[in-house]
Amino acid sequence: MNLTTEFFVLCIFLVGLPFFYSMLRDSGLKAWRFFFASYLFLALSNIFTVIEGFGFHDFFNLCQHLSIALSSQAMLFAILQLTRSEKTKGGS
Amino acid sequence: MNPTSLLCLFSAFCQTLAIGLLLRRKSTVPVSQSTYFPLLSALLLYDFIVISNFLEQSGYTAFFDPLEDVAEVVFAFLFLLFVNNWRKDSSEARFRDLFKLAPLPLAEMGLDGRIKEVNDLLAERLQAYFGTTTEEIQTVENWWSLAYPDKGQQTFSRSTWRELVNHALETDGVIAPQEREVTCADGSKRWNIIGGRVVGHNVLISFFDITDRKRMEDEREIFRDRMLQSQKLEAIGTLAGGVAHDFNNMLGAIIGYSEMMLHDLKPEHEHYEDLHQILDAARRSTGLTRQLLAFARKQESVATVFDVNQAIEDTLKMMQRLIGENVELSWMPGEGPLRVCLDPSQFDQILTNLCVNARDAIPDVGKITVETRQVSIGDDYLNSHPAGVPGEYALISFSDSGCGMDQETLGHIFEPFYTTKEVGHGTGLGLATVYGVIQQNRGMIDVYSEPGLGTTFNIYLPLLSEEETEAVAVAPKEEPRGRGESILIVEDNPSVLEMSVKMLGRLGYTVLKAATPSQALEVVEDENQEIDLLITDVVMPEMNGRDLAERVSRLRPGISVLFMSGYAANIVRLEKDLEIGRGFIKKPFSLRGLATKLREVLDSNAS
Repeated sequence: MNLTTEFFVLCIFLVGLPFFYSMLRDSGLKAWRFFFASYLFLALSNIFTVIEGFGFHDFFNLCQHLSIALSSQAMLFAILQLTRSEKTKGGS
Repeated sequence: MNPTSLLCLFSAFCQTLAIGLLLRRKSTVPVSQSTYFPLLSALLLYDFIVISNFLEQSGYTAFFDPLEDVAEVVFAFLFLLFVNNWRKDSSEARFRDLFKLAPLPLAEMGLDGRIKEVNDLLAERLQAYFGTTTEEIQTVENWWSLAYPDKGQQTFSRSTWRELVNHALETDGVIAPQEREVTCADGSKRWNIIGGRVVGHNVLISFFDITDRKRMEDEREIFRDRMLQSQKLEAIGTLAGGVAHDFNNMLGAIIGYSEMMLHDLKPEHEHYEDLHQILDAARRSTGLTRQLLAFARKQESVATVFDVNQAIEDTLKMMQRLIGENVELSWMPGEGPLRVCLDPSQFDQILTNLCVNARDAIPDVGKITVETRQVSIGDDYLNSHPAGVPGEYALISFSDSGCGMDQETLGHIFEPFYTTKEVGHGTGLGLATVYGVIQQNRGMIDVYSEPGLGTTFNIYLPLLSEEETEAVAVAPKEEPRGRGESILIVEDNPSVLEMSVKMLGRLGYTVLKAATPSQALEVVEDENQEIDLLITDVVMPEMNGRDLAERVSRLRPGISVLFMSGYAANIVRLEKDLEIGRGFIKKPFSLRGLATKLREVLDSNAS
């Protein structure tokens, strides 16, 4: 993977992080912490992706995928909570 | 399979499960389509990324690898979009909750005039006002036609509302609250404060019913006006009463001396006729002071129990003569008897004054209606009549079809010397007298008038039960003389004192005089001095006549007392308290009047 592209993606994730945090916090979503955790781990995985290009490839690659796994798990919990307990929140 | 591949597989499993959950429980996720689809898309992309990773880690050539970075960026964007739309959904939901739960009738209307939604309170209000459901009021035009049946008012309200909305659109979006009178289906009027705010392409309108508040404000205003009017009349009455009292004393002296001089002069005397003219003028002047005293509620009176219906019946002929032939007099007596307690001459004063006013208000032909009935006055009525007392009243309603009066005139009609008649046609004391008499007798008066329609005076006099005793004043016909009795007279006004002393001497009494109560007590304390009767003024410096009489009675038990006053504010009470051997005479008094009263008191004590 092109390092420049990976670095660019990482920048996007990191710049979006505070916005995402404030938006989630004020959204009224009960599962907002899981959603944020999912985003945070995904951003972390991007950091490991960039670092693995400079050395300790296998270790950081493992860290990257571990982060993605945790992010996925957080997303699953967020969706679970959303489909269970958000019935009284929001409206369509 | 290496640990990295396992992690990728786990991630793919989690994402697939999340997608499955989202799809399966779509109906339980309370979000709009614009929120749901970004989330679903973000999850699908995420799933794509982790599967791509798994393939890469499993040794397969990463077919999707070039797209992975793009997918991550798009995922981040979709994720942000989801959160943003969720916030909008939440905000909208909160607004809907507030709209429904607000303790205020609210409507949401499009800028095109279409009513989009109303809350439950407004729906109830519309049902109560117009008997319609919200479905029947689809546009603001329906509202105009229902709320304002009058076309002119409808057009005015419509154009004003548009101006307000346009102004709100150009400025901060706030529609300034306006007080509007709405006509309900049953014809009643309801006041509402209607305000609102432009929100996007909608207008949020609030309705606040202030009819009760308005009614209370009106009642308070009426109450305040009546209080002010009452206080004003009270002040004028005090002034008028004071002037009339002093004037009465002077008239007493003029009448007394004139009478005595006339008595001494022969009719052929050159000044006899001139003196007669003076006496006539003085007697006429007492009529003026009597009216002023009546207004000031200080007119001496002899309260008598009588039936209002009978009293009016007896004066109908006089009233018909007074109003002339062009005016029809309609008499509608209520179920009787309606017994009240007041001086019949005062009652005549009321009828005569109202009759004359009604006649003068009718320019050509017309009708005067006199109606009576028994009414119960409760607290509701007394809210606007602070001086009243709840109970049973005889209502005498006096209506005419004359020119009526405007509000400005109505505010002054009971003031003395206020008249709308031409100079020389009225003294302005008629209605002031009526007011004073009614107040003196614990009654109430209301007046309703519309220019061009006529006027109605409603007079409320307290009803008496059958058990009430009747007080009858009997006027003597003779001019009885003294039988050598000794009389002590106490009067602070020198003219009246001198005149009275002369009168008493002429009537054959032995007279002792005192200018003050202390002088009188000195005379009484002299045991050698024989005193059969004490004549005392009621209002004096040092001590009032009542107290003086008490002290004299203690020193000379059994002494007769005659009170005299032209300023007996509580004369009715005083008369009630008079025991045997005590009497009262009003000032100014005539020689005959004094002689009769003296004999009456002395004889009653002797028997």
